[in-house]
Amino acid sequence: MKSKRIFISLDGVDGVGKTTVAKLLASDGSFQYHKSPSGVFAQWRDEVDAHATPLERYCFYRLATQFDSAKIRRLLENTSVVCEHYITTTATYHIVMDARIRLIHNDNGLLKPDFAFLLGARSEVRNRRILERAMIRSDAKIEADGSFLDQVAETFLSLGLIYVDTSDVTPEVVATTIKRIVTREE
Amino acid sequence: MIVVEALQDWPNVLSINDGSGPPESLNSTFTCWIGEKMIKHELLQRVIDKLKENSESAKQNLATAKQAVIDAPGAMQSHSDTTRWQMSRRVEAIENTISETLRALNALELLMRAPPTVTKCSSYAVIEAQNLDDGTRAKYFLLPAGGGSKYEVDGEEITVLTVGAPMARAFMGASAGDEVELKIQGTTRRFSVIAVA
Repeated sequence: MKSKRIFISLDGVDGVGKTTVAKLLASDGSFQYHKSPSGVFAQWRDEVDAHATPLERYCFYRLATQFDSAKIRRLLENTSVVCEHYITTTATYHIVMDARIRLIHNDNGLLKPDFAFLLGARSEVRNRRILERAMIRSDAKIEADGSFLDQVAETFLSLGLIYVDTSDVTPEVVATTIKRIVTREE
Repeated sequence: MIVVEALQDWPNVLSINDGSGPPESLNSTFTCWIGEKMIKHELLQRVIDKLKENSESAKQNLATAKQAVIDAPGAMQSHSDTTRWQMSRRVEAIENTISETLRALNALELLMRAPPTVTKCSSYAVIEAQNLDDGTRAKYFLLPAGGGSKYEVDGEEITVLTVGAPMARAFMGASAGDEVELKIQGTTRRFSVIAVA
């Protein structure tokens, strides 16, 4: 791994393998794993998700990302960081919920990732993984509205992110691909 | 004053993760940056138009295929309804193609409304690359859908690559000056990325 500290973000809809890949990237110590939202925001999110309007939700997650940005900035003093969900996820989900959020969204003041990855997978693969996860973990959340997820996936694709398709490859291959990309500039 | 401030902030208002200014990788002037944006816009519009044509033609095929299912001999006429079953499968395949095309169109139309600024090889990047084996140079436009076609813009040929295609995957994340390898069916092709816009 290059000596410069690298900040990479992994975004994408449920079932594309973000958590697995992020943890694999962190497993050999090359990266510190960070999941957004974190801290108090992680504690409050269920309450906000359940009761807030899209605009209120957006403000909450935008603030949470600001908090994560500051945290990641500190982490980068010692190590490279892989962050699961960053500002792109906040923007994309909320724009699909309420298109007007596109007009107010900005990433001013946030630490920009050196590499912003979008993990993607075909709908049927995503759905299968989500169902498998639900069978293993009773606390797994299932997005009931498949068309909502499809819209989120389309919106993700409309952003200028580094796309990695995880449909037909193992998480190990995805992690290796990402490492190869981030070390290319050495 | 308010107008000036709004204008200064326009990239953030119009697009996500924008506001980084002209891409350094091109070492270009602002004029060149605007030029690249216009080329991308025009190219994207042509890809969208082509996908719309494909979608319309698929819808016509669907109507024909549905009629063929109705007209196909059933079990009473041909001692088997294989033909009808095969026709139904064809209808299903065309319906899938239409829904995939519509999803692709949605993603491309979103790109059209809020084009992102790119600094690395990613979705919505135009890449100029040199094939290190034969020295030829070519331009590629990475998009979420609509790949596989070549378009001529301002006298230059640009090949559209879908982000999941093998060649696009090889370029993903690269910056100007990087070398990438594309392995297909046992052969390796090497490219040098000249510019990313």
